[in-house]
Amino acid sequence: MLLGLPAHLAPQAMARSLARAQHALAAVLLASVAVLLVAIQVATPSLLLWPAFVALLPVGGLLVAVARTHALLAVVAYLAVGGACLYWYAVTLFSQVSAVDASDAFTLSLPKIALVMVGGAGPLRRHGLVWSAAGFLVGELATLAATVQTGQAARVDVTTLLAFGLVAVVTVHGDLVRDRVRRRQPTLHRAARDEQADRVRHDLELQAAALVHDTVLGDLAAVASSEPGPLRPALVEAVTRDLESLVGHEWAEGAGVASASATPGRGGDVPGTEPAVSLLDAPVAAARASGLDVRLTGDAPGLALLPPATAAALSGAVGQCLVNVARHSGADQAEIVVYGDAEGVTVMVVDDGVGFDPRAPRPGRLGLDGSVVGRVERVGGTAQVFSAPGSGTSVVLTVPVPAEAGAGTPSTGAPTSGGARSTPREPSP
Amino acid sequence: MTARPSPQVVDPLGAAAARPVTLAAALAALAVGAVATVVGSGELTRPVGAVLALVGVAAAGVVLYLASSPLRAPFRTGAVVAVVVLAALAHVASAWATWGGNPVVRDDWVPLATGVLVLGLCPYRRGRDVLLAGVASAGLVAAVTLVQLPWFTTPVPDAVFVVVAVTPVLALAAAGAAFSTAFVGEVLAWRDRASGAREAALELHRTAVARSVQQDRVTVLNREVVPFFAEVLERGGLTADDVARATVVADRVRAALVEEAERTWLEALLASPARPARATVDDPGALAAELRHEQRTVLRALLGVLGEGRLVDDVHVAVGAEGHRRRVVVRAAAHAPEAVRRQQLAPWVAVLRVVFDDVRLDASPTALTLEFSYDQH
Repeated sequence: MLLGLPAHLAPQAMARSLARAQHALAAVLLASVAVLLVAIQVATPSLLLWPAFVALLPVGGLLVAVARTHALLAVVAYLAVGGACLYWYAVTLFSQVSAVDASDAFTLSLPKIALVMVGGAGPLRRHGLVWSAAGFLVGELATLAATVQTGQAARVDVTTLLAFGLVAVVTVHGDLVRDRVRRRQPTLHRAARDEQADRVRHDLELQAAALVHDTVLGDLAAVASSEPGPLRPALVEAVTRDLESLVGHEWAEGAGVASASATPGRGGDVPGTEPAVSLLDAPVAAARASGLDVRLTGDAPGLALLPPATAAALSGAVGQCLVNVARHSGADQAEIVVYGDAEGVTVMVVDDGVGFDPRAPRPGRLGLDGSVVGRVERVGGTAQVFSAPGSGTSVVLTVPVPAEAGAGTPSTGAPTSGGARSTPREPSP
Repeated sequence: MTARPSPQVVDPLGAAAARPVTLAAALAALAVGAVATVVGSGELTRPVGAVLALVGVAAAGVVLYLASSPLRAPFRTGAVVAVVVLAALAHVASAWATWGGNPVVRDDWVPLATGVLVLGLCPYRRGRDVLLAGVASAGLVAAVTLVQLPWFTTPVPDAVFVVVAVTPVLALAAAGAAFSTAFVGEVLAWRDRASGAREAALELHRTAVARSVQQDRVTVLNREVVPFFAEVLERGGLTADDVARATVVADRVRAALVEEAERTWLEALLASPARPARATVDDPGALAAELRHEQRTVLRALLGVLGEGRLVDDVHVAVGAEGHRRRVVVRAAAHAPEAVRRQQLAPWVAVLRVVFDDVRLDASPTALTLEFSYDQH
C-alpha cells in the first residue's frame, strides 16, 4: 500500500493502464455504434444496414485481441482491418442513411475514435501516441475514400481530433511528470526498506538482550548471592556455557535464544505426575536444580507440532517465568499447566508467591517484558500476566500451531516426539 | 468485489503528480462548453441557460481541481457527488437554453464535458466509483434527452438521440474506470511479486545483521562482564569483593538493557549522526513503538525529507496520547519560503493521509507544523 511503483516499472505500468483505458473507451464506442445501427434498422426495416453491422464485427474481435495480447501483430491487424472495415461501414451508411451526409457524422466519428484508441503494443508500447496517430490517419483516410466514392461532403472531424488530443495530452503529461515522481518515490521506497531493516535489527537486538538477561545477569546474580569461597561446580559450568553461547554464533542463527542456563535431560529424574512434555524438560529441570519444586500437569496435542523457533521461544519463556518465581516470588513451588488443541498451545505458570502490580516499574520487569512477553510475541503468540501484591502470579503463554503442521498430522496420540523438535538450540528454518 | 484500494491510496505520490491533468480536464470541459456555446449560439432560445450551463461545468471543474489537491487527500465521495450533481445541473440548464430550438442532440456539449470531468476522477477514485459516477450522469443525460424528444427535428429514431447523448459520458467514464482498475492492479501485482523477493533479501540481511548485533553485544560484554568472569573462573573462588562487584556489574548491564529496551525506533532514527538537520523527540510513553509498519515508513520518509535541511531545520517530533488516540506533532524552524515548503510538502501530506487521520500542515513564515493522529485499536 501507498508505495506506488518503483521508478523503473512505472512507465510500463502507466502505458499498460492507459492502453486499458483506451480499449475500454473503444469498446463502448463500438457497442454504441452497434446499438445505433440496430435502432435505425428497426425503425426503418427497408434500409440495408447489415453490411455496416458486419463490418463492425472484425473491428470488435481485433480490439479484444489487442486488449488480451498487446501483440504487435494484433495492433497492426486492428489498424489495417479496422481501416478497411471502416471504409465498408462508411460506404454503407452514406448510401443508406440520409442523416449521415458528411465525413464528420457522429456514427462515423465513433468507429474512427475506436481506431485512435488502439493503445500501444509490444516493444513500442510506450509510443502509444504514435499508434494513436496512425489510427487517426487510417480512420480519416478510410472515411475520406468512402466520402469521395459516394459523393458526400468531406469535413474536418473535430470530435475525432479532440479524442486524439485527449490521448496526446494524457500521454505527454505522463512522460513529463515521470521525472518529478521519480525524484520523490525513491524516498518512500528507501524509507520502507530502512524500516524493514530496522525491524530486523530491533528484533535481533531484543533477542540478544533476552539472551544476555537470561545468561549473564543470571550468573551475576548467582555470584552476588554466593558466599565468598570456592566456586560451586554448577556455577562454573553455567558461566562457562553462557560465555560460550554469547560469543559463539548459535543464537544468531535463530532459535538458540532459549534459556542457555537450562540443563536438559533431567526431567525424568524426579518421579512426578507429568507426562513427558520434553519441550518443557529443560526449563523445568533447571528450575528444579535451583531448588524450586515444579509440578507439571496437562498436555496439548499441538505441542509436538510447534516449529523449532516457536518451541524454543516457549521453552525459553517458561524457563524465565520459573527463574522469576525462584528469584522474586518468595514461593518455593510453581505449577505448570499445559493445555490446548491442534491450533494453539497454552502454558500457564502459576505461583502463590508475593505477587506484584503488573503496571508498576520493578526490578524483574525487564525479564518479564523481554524474555517472556517479547519472546512469545515474536513467534506470533501472546503472553498475559495476572498478578497483584499478595495474591501470587499467573503467566499465561499461548503460541499458535501452524495450520499446515496440524493438517497433515493426527492431532491425537503422544504429544511429544521428543528429540530435536524441542531442543532449544535447534536453528529456526 | 472486496474493498479494493483507490489509485490514490496505493500511490499517493503518483496521484499528486497527476494533478495538472486534472486541471487540464477541468479547463477542457469548460473550453468545450465555451466553443460549443459560441458556435451554436444560433440555436439558443434562452442565453441565460447557456451561461448557467457554463457556470455549472466551471463549478464542477473547480470542485474536481480542489478536491484533488494532495493537501485534501484522499479525494472525498462528497466531491464526486458534487461534480456529478453540478454537471447534471449544467446539462439541465443547457437543455433549457436550447428548448424547442435544438434540431440535433449531438451539438449538446454538456455530456462530453461531463465525461471529461468524470475521467478526471480516475487518478484518485476506484474504478467502480468512476463508473458509477459515469452511469449516474448518463442516466440523467438520457432522461433530459427523452424529455426533449418531441422537439428534435432530425429524421432518426428516438433511441438514436438517447444513445448519441449518453455515449460520450459512458465512454469516457469506462476509460477512467478501466485506467483506475488497471493501475491499482499493476501496483498490487508488483507488490505481490516484490514481497517474495524482499522476504528472500531480508533473510540474507538477517544473517548479516545478526552477526553485527552479536558483535556489538560481545564488544559491550568484553568491557566488564567477560573480564570479571574470566578472572573469577581463573581464580576458582569468590572473594567478598567479587560478590559486591557482581551486583554492581549486574546493575550496570541491567540498566543498559533497560535503556536499550525503552529506546524507540524514532529516537534511534533521529539520534543518527547521518542526519544533517538537528532533531529531537518528545515521546515519554514510548508511543512511537506502537506505530504500524506503514505509519513508520511514512514518518521515516517525511523525516527524511525534512532532514535534508533544505526546507527546515531543528525538527522536533512529539508523540502524545489522548485516550485511544495518538497524536504526532512535527515542528520545525523553517528557512525556505512558505510557498516552496507548501509545494514541496503537499505530496507528503497526501501520503500521510493514507495512514493517519486529521493531517494538518501549517506553514507559517517562520515555522512549520505538521500534525496528525490515529486510533490505537
